[in-house]
Amino acid sequence: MKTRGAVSWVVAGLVAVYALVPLLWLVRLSLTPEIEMHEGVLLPSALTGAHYLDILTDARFWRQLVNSLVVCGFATLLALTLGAWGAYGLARYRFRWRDGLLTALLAVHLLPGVASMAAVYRIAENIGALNSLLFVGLLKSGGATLAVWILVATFRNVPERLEFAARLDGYSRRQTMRRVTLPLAGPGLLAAGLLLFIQSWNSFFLPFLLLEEPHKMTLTVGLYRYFSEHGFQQGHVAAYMLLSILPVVVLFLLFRRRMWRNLEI
Amino acid sequence: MRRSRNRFPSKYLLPLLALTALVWALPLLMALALSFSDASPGAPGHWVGLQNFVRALGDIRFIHAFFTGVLFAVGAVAFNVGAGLGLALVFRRHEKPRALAQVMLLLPWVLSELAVALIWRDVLAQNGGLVNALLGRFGIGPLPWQTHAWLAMGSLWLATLWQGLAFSTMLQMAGLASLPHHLVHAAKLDGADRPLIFRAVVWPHLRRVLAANALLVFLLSLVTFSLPFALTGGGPLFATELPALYAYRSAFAGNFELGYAAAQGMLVLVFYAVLTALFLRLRRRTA
Repeated sequence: MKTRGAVSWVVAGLVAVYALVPLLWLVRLSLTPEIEMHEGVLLPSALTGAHYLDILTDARFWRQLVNSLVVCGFATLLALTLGAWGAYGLARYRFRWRDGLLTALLAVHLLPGVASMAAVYRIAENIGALNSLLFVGLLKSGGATLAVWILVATFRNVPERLEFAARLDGYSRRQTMRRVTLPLAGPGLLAAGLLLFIQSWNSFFLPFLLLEEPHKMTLTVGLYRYFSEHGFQQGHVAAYMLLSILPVVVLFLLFRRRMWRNLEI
Repeated sequence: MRRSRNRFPSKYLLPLLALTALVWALPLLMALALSFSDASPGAPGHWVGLQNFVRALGDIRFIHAFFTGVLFAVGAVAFNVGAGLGLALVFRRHEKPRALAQVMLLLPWVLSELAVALIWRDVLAQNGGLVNALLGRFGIGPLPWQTHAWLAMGSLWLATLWQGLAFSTMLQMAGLASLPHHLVHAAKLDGADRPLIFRAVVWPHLRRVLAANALLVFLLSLVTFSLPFALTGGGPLFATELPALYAYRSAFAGNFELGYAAAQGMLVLVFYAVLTALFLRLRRRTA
């Protein structure tokens, strides 16, 4: 048993190296002066913060950051509201097609974006929603069907007896929901919100199709645009990338315990 | 006082179902309609019947993209599911290293596929990339990751393993955790030896988890867009042009044929449906 314990530590170490080294390389690139970029050395002779400074003083970067927050905030709030509302019904009622419905809601997530790509573009074109952040946010709120899975489990864990008790003590339905059910479902709501936020933050394909104007782009789309315009400036691209993934990395570090369970839905 | 809890709770479910219809179902129906037209961005187009589908099935570039997608997906399944099962087995009884590995695996998992593609582009860059710099120390290389067909495919596999390993490892860990231990004990008491226990108890259980994992990774890999788009650009030539990339190029770069791209998407979807149906049928038969 002892040797097997050692083996698993070694494997965990290898996993850590595999996961971290590409990211450390990215950090290294972002701090390397452009002039030393292609010399094939592992560590540069001097470090520079110039790339970060260039990007942080670029108005487009800040604009795209705000755009991302708008899209993600809208998508997350809408999806969480409708998702939680629906999940409550799914958790508290038994009806014929309930399990089938849950499976169907999960299955829509396997639908490939390539199948609906042309249609989404056409719809946006017809209703004048090209370059509309809210339209992209609406599309991204489709993540609600995935969040439902976390939320149904959450509401099932809130004892129905507590709701009855609150009702007997004179709370209205609304008060019961607000003062009893939702606070007890807090951790699950947080987990679902986190998942929704990260998913919409990371989404690239649809925003890339629909947001063509630079000042309407989300940060992920902006990153690609920056890369295709400044690809020869690897250090700048690396700095842009690190800044654009920083929010999800921070969220991940704050809630990393919760996320593995999130994966398990 | 209370109404029955055995009915369809339309008050709770209708908003969610409306959103689902709007965001998931409507575009799909619209795509189906588009696939029978010669629409392009900015032009509504006309009904052309099955022309797009006939064309796709005779389009060598589409067929090539499809089988390239299958090749990529098969490799992704082999690497991701294999490594996932391996890690799950290694960490089965060791909680602390498992916790470390989980956190590490999740770090790439939370990144966008685009960032993953661009990161690996840097790591595998022919000049000044990390891997070639390391290999250079041992007198190997530089390896032409961008210009050699199999190396380009390999770079897609490396990137998708980096990001996707968390998912497969999680599924396999959950699978091992739900192993029917009471059956294993019962078999032991009845005097079964280890190979027999594995064949009769462990494998039937493991097989289901592996199959489900393989199907999911296969389906998701087949239609990945950002990885080939930003990591290899579909190159060299068309060596890593996967179906989503070709469909995108058909609609938005080159000929601007929305209808043709929609038909390609529909064909991929049909393949999806057939594969999933086969999977479910096989599963029912072995259950």
